[in-house]
Amino acid sequence: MDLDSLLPNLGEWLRGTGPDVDVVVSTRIRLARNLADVPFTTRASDAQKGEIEARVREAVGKSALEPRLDYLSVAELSPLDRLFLVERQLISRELASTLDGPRGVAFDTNESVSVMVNEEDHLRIQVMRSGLALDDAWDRIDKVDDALEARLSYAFHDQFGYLTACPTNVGTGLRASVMLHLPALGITKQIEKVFKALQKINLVVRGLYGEGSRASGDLYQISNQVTLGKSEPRLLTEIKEVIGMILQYERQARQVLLKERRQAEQDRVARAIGTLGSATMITSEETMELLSSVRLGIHLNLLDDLPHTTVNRLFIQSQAAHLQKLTGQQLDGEERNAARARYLRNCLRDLGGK
Amino acid sequence: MNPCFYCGQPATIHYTSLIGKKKVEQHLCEGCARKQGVLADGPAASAPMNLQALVQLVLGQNATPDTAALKCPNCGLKYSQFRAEGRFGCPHDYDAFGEVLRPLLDRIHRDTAHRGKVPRALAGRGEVADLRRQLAEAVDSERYEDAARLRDLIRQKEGSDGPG
Repeated sequence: MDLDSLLPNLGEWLRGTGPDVDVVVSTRIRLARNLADVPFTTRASDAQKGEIEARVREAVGKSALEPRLDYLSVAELSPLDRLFLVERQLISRELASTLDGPRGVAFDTNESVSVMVNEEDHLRIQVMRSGLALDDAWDRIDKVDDALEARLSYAFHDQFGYLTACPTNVGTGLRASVMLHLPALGITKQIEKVFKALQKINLVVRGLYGEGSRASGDLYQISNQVTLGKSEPRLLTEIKEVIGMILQYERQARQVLLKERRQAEQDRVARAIGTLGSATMITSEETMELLSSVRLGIHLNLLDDLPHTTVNRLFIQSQAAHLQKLTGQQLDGEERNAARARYLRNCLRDLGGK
Repeated sequence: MNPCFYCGQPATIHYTSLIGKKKVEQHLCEGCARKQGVLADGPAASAPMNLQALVQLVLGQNATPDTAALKCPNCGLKYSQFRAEGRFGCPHDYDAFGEVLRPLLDRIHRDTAHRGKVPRALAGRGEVADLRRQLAEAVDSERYEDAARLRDLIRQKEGSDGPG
């Protein structure tokens, strides 16, 4: 697979369509699976990891999944290509850089299904959907899992379910994450209150790039903490109920903003577009914050001539590895901030946005 | 306000530990904290916390000489190593450590039994698997009385005919 061919695409998770896409960016479900009778990845030798990789590759190839998944050996990729896959959410940071030995990822050209091999668990199957689509994502991943299971012997225990390297994933091995854009709850200072309520019901809130990452651009991932003792549909139902409530709060807060401070919001959005379209140096943090204002402006109809997928395009392509691929140069520090500003200026000019 | 893990009263003692990268929280009221030996007798404000007792509460049984020496015959991982690193060595560890794991899983998941998907190849296997599927369905459709009955039945069967 030629990775650079993905560059102009948004990928499934940023497609920008789907249910409740005014608040929900994307839905992701992952399943942790391991092969029976082989040590978990952290205690496997390189030879054993090579064996695991070969078995999973063969299963992926023979299971004839639609759309087809192509396998890439992460160990053989350049650091730039690995970061590119991290930015597109096809692999984890751990698979990219902290783990070693034979490891890889299989994914389809729509970037809706990915199977990481030799991450913390032998297989980490992931399905992405644009917008809020937990049931749809579960149907898909359940089938992918069945297809692979038909050719691989999974470590499964009558009592504990699917066995995983970490006891926090055992049972279903299922983690469902919904990425939400919650700017109005941030502006009206209600976000802390919402998150405190979530922790009480065993859901986890994290920033954009997963565990330990800071929320930037008002993007939050909500996911289940418990994986054992409940069926998959039950786990999904619990998340759905909570997401439904958060959606309602965020939409109410947006209406309050429109009613009570429309002019100020209009100003914020105009300034955000102004800065994105005229800065000569810009960090990724500032870009994220400004894009958050623009995204909100689009959904509040405070901006006319910008399609809402624009924000997603600028969001993904202004990240480090994407910029380096777009410019064809290695960029560090200041150069990168200058290249990011140049890219954003050009894009917004081409779109005729102001 | 979080309820006490034991009695459901509002908790006044909150303890968070990291297992792997995941946070596990434990909430206790003063009364239960005393009962569990976390708080010594005396006024709560001045009573010293027994950290050892707290850690035991979150992680389950302490690694006693017996349990610390438990070792997986397959990968060689000792229970004490697992406790230090938070990661298993191979799928057989779950059987090798067996009973010792239940309190830990109960702290993390508030449960110790899988009620979800079963691999197709195993789905038809045995009576217990069948009961477990019925249980999952009962829970999903919120028939809690049926669920409780099935759960007891499964426990009974597991207690009588298997290593558990």
